[in-house]
Amino acid sequence: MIRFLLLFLLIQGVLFGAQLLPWGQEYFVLPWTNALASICQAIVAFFDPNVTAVGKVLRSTSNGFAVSIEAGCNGVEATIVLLAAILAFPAPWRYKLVGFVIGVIAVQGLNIVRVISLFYLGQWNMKWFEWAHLYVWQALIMLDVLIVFLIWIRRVPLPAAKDGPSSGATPTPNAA
Amino acid sequence: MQLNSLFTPPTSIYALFWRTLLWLPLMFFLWVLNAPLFHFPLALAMQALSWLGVPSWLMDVEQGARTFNFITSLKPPSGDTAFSASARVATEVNGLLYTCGLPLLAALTLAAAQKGWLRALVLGYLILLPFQLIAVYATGLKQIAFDMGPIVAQQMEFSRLQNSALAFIYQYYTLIMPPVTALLAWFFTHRETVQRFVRDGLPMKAKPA
Repeated sequence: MIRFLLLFLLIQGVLFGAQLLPWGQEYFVLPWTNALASICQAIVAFFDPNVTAVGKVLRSTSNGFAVSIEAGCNGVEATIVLLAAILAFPAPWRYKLVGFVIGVIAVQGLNIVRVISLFYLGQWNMKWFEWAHLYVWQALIMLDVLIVFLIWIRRVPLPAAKDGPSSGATPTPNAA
Repeated sequence: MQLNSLFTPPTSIYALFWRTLLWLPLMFFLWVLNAPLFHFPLALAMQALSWLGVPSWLMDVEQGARTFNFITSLKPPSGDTAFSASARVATEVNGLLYTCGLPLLAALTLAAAQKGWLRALVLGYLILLPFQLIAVYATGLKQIAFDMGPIVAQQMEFSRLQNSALAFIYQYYTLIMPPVTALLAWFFTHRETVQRFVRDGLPMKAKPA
C-alpha cells in the first residue's frame, strides 16, 4: 500500500511537471486540447450546426457564446492520475497497456460530455455553469477515474502467494 | 434501489458508483452550507503561519464565509493615486476551490457504508487538511507574487527558484490535488472495501488474533 502510494505520487508529479514544460505544452497538451475541441464540435454538429471550433475554443455562431478549454478541463490531469495509478500498481505490462487505453477512452469520453454540457450550461445560466465547472465535474471525472481503476485492478492477475500490501498489490486490512 | 440498501455495503463496484452519485448532491449542499466550519482549521493554521512570519510580509489571514483574505505589509504601486500612503496589498482566495474534494470523499465514504464509516470520514477529513492548507496558502502567495504587478513582486524578495517552485506548487495543488487527495484518503481509509471489490465474491481475509 505504502509502495503504491509513494510510486503513484512520484509518477503523477513527474508526469504533471513534464506536461507543464514548454515542449509538453507545445507537443502534447495543446494538440490534445485542440483535438478535444474538434471532437466536441463534431459531436455537437449532429444536433446543433451553429457551433464552430477554432483551436481550443468552442463557439456558438448563433449567440457568440464560447468556451475555451483550459488546463484542468482538457482531461490531461485525470489521464495523468489514471496512468500514474496503473503504472504504480504491480501488474503485467500487457494489462497496464490495455487498462490505460480503455481507461483513457472512458475518462476522455466523460470529459467530452463535460465540455459539451458546460458549453450549453453556460448559455443557459452562468451561475450553474460556474458550479458545474469548478466543483461538480471535477468530482465526477475523478470518480470516473476511481471506478475505472477499481474495475481494472479486479481484472489484474495477482500473485497467489503475495496478495498483501507489502507486495504493492491488493491491500489487506491486517497488514496495511 | 431500496432506501435501506443505501446503508449496507455495496455488492459491486457499479453499486458503489451509483450510490456515490446519489450521495454527491447532498454532500455538496452540506459542504457549501458548512464551509466556514470546514475551513476553520485551515484559517487557524494560516493565521499561525502568518504570525510566525512565514513569509515575513504576511500580516494575517482572515476567514470569510467561503474565502480567505491574505493581508500583507506590502505597499501597492505608489504611482496609483487611488491608494493612500498607508494602503497595503491584500488578496482573497476562494477556499471552496481547494476543499472540493471533501464532498467527494464524504459521498464515497457513505456509499461504501463500511463499518466505522464516521471514523473513516473524520480521518479522511484530517488527511485532506494539510493538502488543502498547502493549496490555499500557495494560491494566496501566487496571487500576490504574480497577479499584483512587478512593484509588489519586488517587495516580496522571492528568488527565481522560489517563484518557480511557487508556480509549480500552485498548479499542482490547484489542478490535480483537490480531488486526487480525496480519492487517496478514501483508498487509505477503505482498504477492506477495496479488497472486497477487487476480489469480488471472495471472503475477506480473516484478521489474525
